[in-house]
Amino acid sequence: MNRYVTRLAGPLAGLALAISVAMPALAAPSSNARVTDRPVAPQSAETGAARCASAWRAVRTDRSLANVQAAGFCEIDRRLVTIDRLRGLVRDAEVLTDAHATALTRILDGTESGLMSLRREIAADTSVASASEDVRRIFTEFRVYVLVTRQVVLVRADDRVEAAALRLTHAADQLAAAIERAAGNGKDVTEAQGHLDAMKAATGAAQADVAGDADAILAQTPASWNAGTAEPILDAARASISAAHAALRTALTEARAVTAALR
Amino acid sequence: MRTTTRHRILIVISAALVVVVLAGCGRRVDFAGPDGPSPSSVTVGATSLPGQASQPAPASPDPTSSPGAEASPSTAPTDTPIPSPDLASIEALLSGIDTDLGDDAASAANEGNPQ
Repeated sequence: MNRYVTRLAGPLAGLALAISVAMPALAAPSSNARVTDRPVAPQSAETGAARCASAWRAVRTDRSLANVQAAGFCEIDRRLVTIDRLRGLVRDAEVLTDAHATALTRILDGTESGLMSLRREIAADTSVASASEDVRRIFTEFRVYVLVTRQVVLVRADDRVEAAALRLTHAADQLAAAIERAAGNGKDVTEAQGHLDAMKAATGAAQADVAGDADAILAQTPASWNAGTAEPILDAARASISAAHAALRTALTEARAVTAALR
Repeated sequence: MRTTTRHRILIVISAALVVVVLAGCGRRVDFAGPDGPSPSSVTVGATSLPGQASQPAPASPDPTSSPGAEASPSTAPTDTPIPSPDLASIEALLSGIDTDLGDDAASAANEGNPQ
């Protein structure tokens, strides 16, 4: 019996060691699976204001501590779902620069931890007045939808403009080579060259439109939103991205015109 | 003495087992690994070439660029494929900007009001 035990001890120990090393790696949750940190895991993917409509109706009917707290929990939970979604947008966005992705992740992490802390404060409130004040802080201290969400989507759009402009610049180089070759073959390239010049000008205009926008967007905070200074900056960034988008569209049309003129 | 030798053999087998299992895990991670851009093909005119914007244009010899070369539509360079720019990926980026601007416009309505 002891011989069998001795023979098996080594392999079994090795197997146990291998399983103990491998299993945590296989069962590791994704990096954003942090719901266990939360007081209550959100049950609904709905993140619109309508999600908490019934909770607010209850508050209007009976402004009790429990009802105010429930409304606060609902508002926080839908924001946590939104933050998860935004974190996914940052993670999956192929065009975001590393610096922008890091800055956005820092904003999202800070917002999430702040909201979870506030949730615990609301749960510990013992009066309607203190709970109501804490619920108000969900809006004034975090600005998840009017600020944080806009920061993520506008910076992503900004980086998309930059990425498209870079690709158009590279395409312009290719088209310039094609024009040169066609000219060498005796083809009249006047029209193609005109479209290429227009393409380059439009691409340059797009890049100029969004220059510095991302930094300005990322610098905004809930406090600057409350002071009234953030919204105009975000709106201006949106307008410049729209203008850049139009310029990029023009550049793309001109690129196609170059290829058509070379046929 | 024999027992010691047997122990050494068993330890070697155990270590090999650990290496095999860990190698299997490593292969699994590699498989799920980096998501690179999928190659695309763009057709411009009569020329269809793989077009990836981040790739440099393939260098192709161009006899017409040499001084004194005869410029004629029937010369060899017309057979050289023109590198086609990756306009499809640029179109996709423009669509993404549209989506972002739409998300931006819709976000404010979700803020709600504590009153």
